[in-house]
Amino acid sequence: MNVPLTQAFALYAAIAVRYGSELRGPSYVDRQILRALKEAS
Amino acid sequence: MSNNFTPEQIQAVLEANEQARQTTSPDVLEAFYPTHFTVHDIKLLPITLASYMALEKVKSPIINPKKDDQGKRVPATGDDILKAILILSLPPSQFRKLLKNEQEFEEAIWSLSEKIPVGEIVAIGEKIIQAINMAFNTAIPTGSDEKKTAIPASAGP
Repeated sequence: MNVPLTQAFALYAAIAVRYGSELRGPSYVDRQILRALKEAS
Repeated sequence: MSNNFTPEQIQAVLEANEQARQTTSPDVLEAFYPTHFTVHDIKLLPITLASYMALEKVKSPIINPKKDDQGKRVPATGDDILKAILILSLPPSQFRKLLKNEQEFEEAIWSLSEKIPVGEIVAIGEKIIQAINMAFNTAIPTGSDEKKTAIPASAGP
């Protein structure tokens, strides 16, 4: 309840990936690449 | 087959890919070392499930925007914004106590209103909406849409 949501989501994503869950949204790596692409455009 | 990317874009993607694989994501770093929002010397704490639920409890339009007949978002009132500042600036133990006593909550809102200039309230509301949106920066949907029903072992073969 008192854990910041950003931390909870990051930990959840790490656990999900660790146990092989498929990501339905862009991963953190994908997001960094998309951001760089947007900046270079 | 041709692609429409410029050499600069391709270079940027390659560099970002390399960097992303070697360092922790800025979104994750921000989650564990957050930039705090302040409103006239009032430090807003990172959004937690408890503070989000408290905003739901006071039916804050900051998280559930009201819409008019034409479907346009109705801006949050000064009172709504003050309630959000109060909830987001206190630890859960304190705002839960306040939420249990309507009169104390009203008093706290009034005393907060004296510290914040009326002319800045809309801009502060936008800042709070931004802080709430940032709380979802690290959310990545996982799993599939398919519903899987687990059959308990007790159901037998």
